Amino acid sequence: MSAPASNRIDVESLMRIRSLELRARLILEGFLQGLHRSPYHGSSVEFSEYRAYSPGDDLRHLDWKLMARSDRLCIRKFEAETNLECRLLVDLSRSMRFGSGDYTKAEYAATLAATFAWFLLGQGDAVGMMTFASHILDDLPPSRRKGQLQHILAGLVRESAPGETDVKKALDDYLPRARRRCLTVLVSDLLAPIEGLQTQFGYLARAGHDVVVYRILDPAELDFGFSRTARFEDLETGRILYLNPATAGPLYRQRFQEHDEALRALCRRHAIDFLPVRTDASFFDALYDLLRRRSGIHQKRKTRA
Amino acid sequence: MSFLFPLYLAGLAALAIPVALHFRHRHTREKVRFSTLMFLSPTPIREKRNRRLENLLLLLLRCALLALIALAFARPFLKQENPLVAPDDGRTVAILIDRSASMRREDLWERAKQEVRREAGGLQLGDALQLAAFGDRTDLLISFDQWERAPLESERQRLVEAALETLQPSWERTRTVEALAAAAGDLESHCAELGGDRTRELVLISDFQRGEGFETLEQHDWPANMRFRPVPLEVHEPANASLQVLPREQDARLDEEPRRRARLLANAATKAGAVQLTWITAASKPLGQAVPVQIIPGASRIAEAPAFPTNETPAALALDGDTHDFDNRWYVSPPPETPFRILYYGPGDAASPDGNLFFLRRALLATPSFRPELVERTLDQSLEDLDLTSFQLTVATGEIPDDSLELLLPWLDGGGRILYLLDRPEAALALTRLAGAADVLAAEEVVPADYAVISTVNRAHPLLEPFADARFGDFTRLHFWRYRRVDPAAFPSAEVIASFDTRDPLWLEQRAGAGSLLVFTSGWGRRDSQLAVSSKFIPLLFGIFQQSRGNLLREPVLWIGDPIPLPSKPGVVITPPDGVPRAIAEGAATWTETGEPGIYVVEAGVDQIRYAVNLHPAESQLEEVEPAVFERALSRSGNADQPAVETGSDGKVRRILTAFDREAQQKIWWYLLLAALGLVLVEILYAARCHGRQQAALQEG
Repeated sequence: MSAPASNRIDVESLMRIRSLELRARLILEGFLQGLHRSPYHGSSVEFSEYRAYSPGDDLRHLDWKLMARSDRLCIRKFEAETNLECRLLVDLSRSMRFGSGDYTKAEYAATLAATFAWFLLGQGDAVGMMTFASHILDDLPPSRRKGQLQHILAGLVRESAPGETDVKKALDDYLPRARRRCLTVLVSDLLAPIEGLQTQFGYLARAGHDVVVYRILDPAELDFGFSRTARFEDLETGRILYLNPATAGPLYRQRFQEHDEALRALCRRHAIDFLPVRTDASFFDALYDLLRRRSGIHQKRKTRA
Repeated sequence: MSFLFPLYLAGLAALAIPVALHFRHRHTREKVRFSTLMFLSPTPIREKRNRRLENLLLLLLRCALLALIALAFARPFLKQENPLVAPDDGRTVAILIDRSASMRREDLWERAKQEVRREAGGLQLGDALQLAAFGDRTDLLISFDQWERAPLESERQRLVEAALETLQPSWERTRTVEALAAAAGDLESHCAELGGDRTRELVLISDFQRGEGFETLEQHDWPANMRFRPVPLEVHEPANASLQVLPREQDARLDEEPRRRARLLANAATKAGAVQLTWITAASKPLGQAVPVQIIPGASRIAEAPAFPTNETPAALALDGDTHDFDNRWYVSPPPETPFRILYYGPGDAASPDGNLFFLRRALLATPSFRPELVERTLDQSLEDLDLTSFQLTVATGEIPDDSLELLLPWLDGGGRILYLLDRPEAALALTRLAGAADVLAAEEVVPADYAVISTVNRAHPLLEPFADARFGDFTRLHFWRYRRVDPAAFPSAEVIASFDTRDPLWLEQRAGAGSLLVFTSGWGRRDSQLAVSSKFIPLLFGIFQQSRGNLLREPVLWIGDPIPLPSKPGVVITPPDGVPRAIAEGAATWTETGEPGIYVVEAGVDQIRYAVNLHPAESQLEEVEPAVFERALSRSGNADQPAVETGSDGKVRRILTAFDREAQQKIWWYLLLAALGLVLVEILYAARCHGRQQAALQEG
């Protein structure tokens, strides 16, 4: 599933580039280069099926290479290309401002979302975006117009808003807006109580959306690898705790693990794809995953049809 | 161990600061911002033991540093037995006795004299003594020489008794510092004269009232090796109230004496209550009703004085109901009873602003202290029916007829004053006679092409006193259209007061016998100049009036010791409050024997001016100065080498060392400060090391 190591761009070096647009383009170029050598070579997300040429068909859609190989006239069909609609839900709350390295989770999430948007728009898909914290910050309806990418990029580079992450409220607001079935990509750290998510995830799944959750986590959040006693300040609430990591660490890891498992179980229950993404991990994994999912949607649709 | 300034030990409270800071430091100051604390619970913090020890050492260093600084400021010293000294060559003692007005309280004066006797009686045969009394000035009563000329004890006793017998407290204010400086100088020069190892002592017998010039105490360079010994006289009842009558208001009604106001001052020790204000005569006879006035302790208030009596002129406002009487009277001088009479003798050009009379009439504005009276005579009228001696000034102009000159000249010689306006060249003949010139003065009409201006002014002349300040002395804007040129050298002894840019004189003064003749070569009327319509005219005229009768415009209030200005006339008589008139020698400008408060009447011819001489208000403020303040200032120069001595019970002579002496000798504060500096260095190095370790630990972590 992953691209060869030689094609990977070092995430840290990449995140040092200030322009979000440039970052997304570099990732995408690297990804597409790798794609040619990937097992997906020869196929593409927009490719649907071949059918036999019949007189009157547009000769532009004739696959000349196939004709050269097999001496048969086939027409390429691009069904999915016209149908796919994707909505990106990006969490920009204060907890996303955390980063143990040189960049924050919010920057990573924005880069990821920008790359997705670029990639999908490049394929001719309609992409919409909604950013949220404790309330909706930006809402761009899906569109495949030329300027859409710029709008999305502008929405992603805004400062993270004050307030706690409220995924529940964001989904409450999102559901009435996304009436058409679409690919819903939620990019968030989901550091919120599970109870608040259960109903909304259920509604999402039942509304027929293909939902993918990219959970962005910093390595420090996973292993709580602090060594010194310090005052820990909650980025969202401003609460302060004097903590000795040596004593607080095991409990943290245990509770985090429990929360993570509950989250996975919830997603499983509602057939939602759950993908944890470490901020030190390559963007390509997530991109491959998106690619796979897209083709999966076509598969599903084909089956339904 | 004792301390010179133990109050500074309060600085030890600052030790709480590093303790508090170090205590706070037990909680880490390191801050980590984390995405969420939802998976975390508070945990007990356990400090590492070695880190606490490190901080403890730093804390101890810092506390010790602060403690050393506080101790150094408190100036510690060790009490030791006074060191032995060899007997010296004797004592030289200067005794200063305060005789200011405040010494009139209670029995202070008797006690002061007793102290002098006691001090003088305690002297040995080889000792020297100087006795001086001071108030506003210092009077030497017994000099070192007089003391030496009386070697026997009985003679010395008589000398002291003779000096004290006639000595009375004065009405002067207190100038302690000046008296101390003079006595210290005498002491120095006498000891230098005698040579040898003599103990110098300066004894001050006083009520230690703050007095005037106290602030200069620190500025004097007091001689070293001088022992200052204060003998404070305590007052049983420090409460005191005093009064000052405020000057008359200039805009008050002219036809009656305005209601006067008085400032009542009461010191903090005074009890709130009412005092009585009464007008009294010079013989202390009350006039009219007494008015009760409330006083405020520690504050001053303005109260309305009783109505001014109409039947008899009062001399003073008296305050009754106060503990100390010495400052309970305030003498006032009523305005001159005689009007200021001016004779105008010249052409009758009164109606025209071109002439001089027009403006002279308008310039004579009456004030409560100045009542002018103008008598006008034209040149064709005779002066025979006038009593010229009743006039203070004659303004003459034009060709004065000979018969009038015959009358004016003796009056001028006898102390009269004539302002002569030379309005035409033909009038030079009259001027010649007035000035007493040998040859006929030549006058020539000069009409400059545009105008003439004043270029040279003798501002030192009394006539131009109002213009002495450079801000008011600019005459260049004054234009003169015409004037009469005269040669000042042709006058017998004329002084040019002002002259034009053409170097021709404008104003001249010629002394004529006891009187004086003032000559203006250009008039102030519109025909001659702009003088009458300029801002200089009224001050100039009043300068002339003032010269004719001194202190015309101000209410003449003087302090004890102030000189009384005398008019420059013959036959001046002054009557002090004792009622015995004194004739003043001719030429004396001032009378300085104003040693007693009261009314001093100056009579010169028809003029009679009453001067009120009062006790200086500073003397009523009985604020006291701690004798230690003097002691500290005077001993600062260092008397460590040769302090006073005492004879102990064992018969040995020891130095008397004050706390200041000991502290100055031991200088412990210096070592403490040095140690503190060392600690600062150690603290800096140690703190840097600790910080380095922490940084290293952080990087490793």
